[in-house]
Amino acid sequence: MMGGWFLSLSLGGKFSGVIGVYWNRWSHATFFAALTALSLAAAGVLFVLLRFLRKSMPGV
Amino acid sequence: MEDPQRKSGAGGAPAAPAAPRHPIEDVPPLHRVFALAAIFIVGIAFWMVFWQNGSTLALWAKNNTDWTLFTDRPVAGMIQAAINPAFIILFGIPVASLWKRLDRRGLEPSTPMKMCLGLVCASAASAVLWAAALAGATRGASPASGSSGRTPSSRSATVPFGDGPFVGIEGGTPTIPGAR
Repeated sequence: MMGGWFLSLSLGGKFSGVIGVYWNRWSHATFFAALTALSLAAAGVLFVLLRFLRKSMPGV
Repeated sequence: MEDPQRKSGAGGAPAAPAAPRHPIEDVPPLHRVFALAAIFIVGIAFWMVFWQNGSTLALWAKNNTDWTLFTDRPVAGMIQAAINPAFIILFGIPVASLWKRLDRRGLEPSTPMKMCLGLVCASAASAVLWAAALAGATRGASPASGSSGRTPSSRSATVPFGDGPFVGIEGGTPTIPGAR
């Protein structure tokens, strides 16, 4: 489980660099809009899965 | 029968002979794995946004913010590295006590819900930067191409290396826009 957690950390770091490349290609406003959309989409995915996650992780 | 040890996890060996089953044991293993995978994939998206503070947000702070706020010297760079740990120390205990108080009323959100709220907070923070970038663009401070990004501010001349070549990220190697 901790291995999966560190794997997600490493992939997150890698992909943060992948989207960091677009800092120089897009305008700053577009870049921050993309960051906003990305985190909001992740929150939406989590919200959709909330019922399943609560059932799969009882007690937390 | 209500056992106070019930929430402490299934791994520990309870002293009571007839230990109550932890509810996790009723969840199929495949569901547990799917739950972990979902959390990890959402976590990747969070770290993608969060770790912009090591690269693009530092560039934004260097080129597009006023380093001399409240002072006549460019000290913002010195305190910038202290902001993240300072916020953790300042807000860690109040937020933890907030969960405790909500728990006493039975209102504490589940851990996935807290993660969801954290992502909404990260999104709101990005939206603030988005609005700031848009406001700068209307004043012509932020170039539309974003290739240079240095604000032509009168006070930016006091910033050390403020007039040096802009070092950006382009495939991991430093680039100088004048050379492109």
